[in-house]
Amino acid sequence: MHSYRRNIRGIIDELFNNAIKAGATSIEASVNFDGDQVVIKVKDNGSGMDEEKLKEVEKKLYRPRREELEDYYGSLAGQSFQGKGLSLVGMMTDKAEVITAPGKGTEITVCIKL
Amino acid sequence: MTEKTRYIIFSLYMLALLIIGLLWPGEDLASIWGGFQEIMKTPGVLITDFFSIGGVGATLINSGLVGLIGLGLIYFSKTHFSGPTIAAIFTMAGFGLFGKTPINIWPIILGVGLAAVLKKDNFRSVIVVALFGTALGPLVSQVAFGLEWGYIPAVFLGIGTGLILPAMASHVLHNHQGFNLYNVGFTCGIVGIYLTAMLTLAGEDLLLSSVWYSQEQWELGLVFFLYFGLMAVLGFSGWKDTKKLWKLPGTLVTDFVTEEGMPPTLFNMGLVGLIGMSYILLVGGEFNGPTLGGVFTMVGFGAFGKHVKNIWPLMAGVYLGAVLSSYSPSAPGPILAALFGTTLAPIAGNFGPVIGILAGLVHLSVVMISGPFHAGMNLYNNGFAGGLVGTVFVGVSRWLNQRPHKKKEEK
Repeated sequence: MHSYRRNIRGIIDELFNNAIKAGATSIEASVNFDGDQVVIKVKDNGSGMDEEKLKEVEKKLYRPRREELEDYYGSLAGQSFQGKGLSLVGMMTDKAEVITAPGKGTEITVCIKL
Repeated sequence: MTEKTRYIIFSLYMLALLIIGLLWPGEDLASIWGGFQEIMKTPGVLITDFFSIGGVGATLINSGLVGLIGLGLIYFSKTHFSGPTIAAIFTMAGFGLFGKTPINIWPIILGVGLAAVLKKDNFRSVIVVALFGTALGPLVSQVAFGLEWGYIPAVFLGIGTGLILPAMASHVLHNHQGFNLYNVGFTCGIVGIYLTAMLTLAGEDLLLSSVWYSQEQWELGLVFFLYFGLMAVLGFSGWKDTKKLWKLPGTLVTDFVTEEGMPPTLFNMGLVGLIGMSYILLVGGEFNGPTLGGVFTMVGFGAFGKHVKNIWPLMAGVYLGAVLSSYSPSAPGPILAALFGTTLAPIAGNFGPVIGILAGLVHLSVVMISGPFHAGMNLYNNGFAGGLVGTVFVGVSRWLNQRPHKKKEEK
């Protein structure tokens, strides 16, 4: 059992940072405990992403979960004061999905297996 | 490059230390064994050059064994073998030249492992802290052999200390926001202050050590130029992607292996090693346990945050600081500050070379006085000083970033 509650907070912080960086004025977030997994969804009305940017974000989000790092370095999630977007979410989650289009905002859903 | 290939390459690198140690000219098996026993019994606090204590052969064997223990723990715990773990292996092997032994690292590792058990977690979740936490190995040796309390009390003290490291290491990250790569060094420095205070309260007189080897320079230089140079050759196929890697700021957590793959990482590690070796040569320093340990650590973090572009400003800053002050750049403190001071490479990576040079300058001033705080029992003294410097730099930068820009509306 990991310190998943702290990790959830960090993941939401980091997804919020990403949304703010994209100029969002409205951000919706939800956390759902679904059996042995937690589903976190953050939707914003920011600038959205073009294909190139999406590939870059997917590369970060689709990284394998890194159990050896998430408890230790996970506390840095969402802490970047320079407003950098996603850096740690990928290594703290098992699955991710991005729905986005230029000018139409972004919806990111991530899952953590408990 | 598969994970299996990575294991083979880095196992061979650690095994090479054993072989070079066994074949070191002018030393036979009996003298190596005698030297090895001496190393096991030495307190190992900063700065204790094992080359002087047990000879070059025994020291290299000790270094290889310490590295292989780390590698074995990663393998058997089925941990992903990548940037952070590569950094940990080379850091362990590097400090196996001046402070860590197979005897003094175990209690700390056990303590960290026990912390995971108490949290009903697995060892894998704390392995990075366990490997880097062996920085406090000299605590065990100092208490057992230096203060002569015996090995059993020292083991218990080591386990107790290891127990609190995971919580502390994660907590102190917030201070410097990942700008100090040797975060466990910062952690161990803080823990070391308390341990020093308690041991002093118990009536012990804790002194720093100053054992510095300055023989067989030509041989050591040649061997380790080749050792690190071969790394660049092995990774040469990835040199084009190394340019992408050099654009990364290097702040924690930047795993170069995940970002760009193994060949460019290996190429970068080799180049970083050659820069470290060249610096020692250029400032007229000596190739010995502590300086080579510094290069090993730089090389390890060449997979986890350090690269050619973000380390030079720190090294230049430390050199400048030494030249402007009364220190000689080749004296033990300043030369180690230049090598290990690259712990602050992310500052240069994020804020540019000028701020990086300034950070190097400040780092030198702090590291020159921080050793006595923990009585040299925290081997990562530069990590401790780097944490203090990083905290100030990040605090000020954060404040500057948050200054209100609404003066016109206020009028």
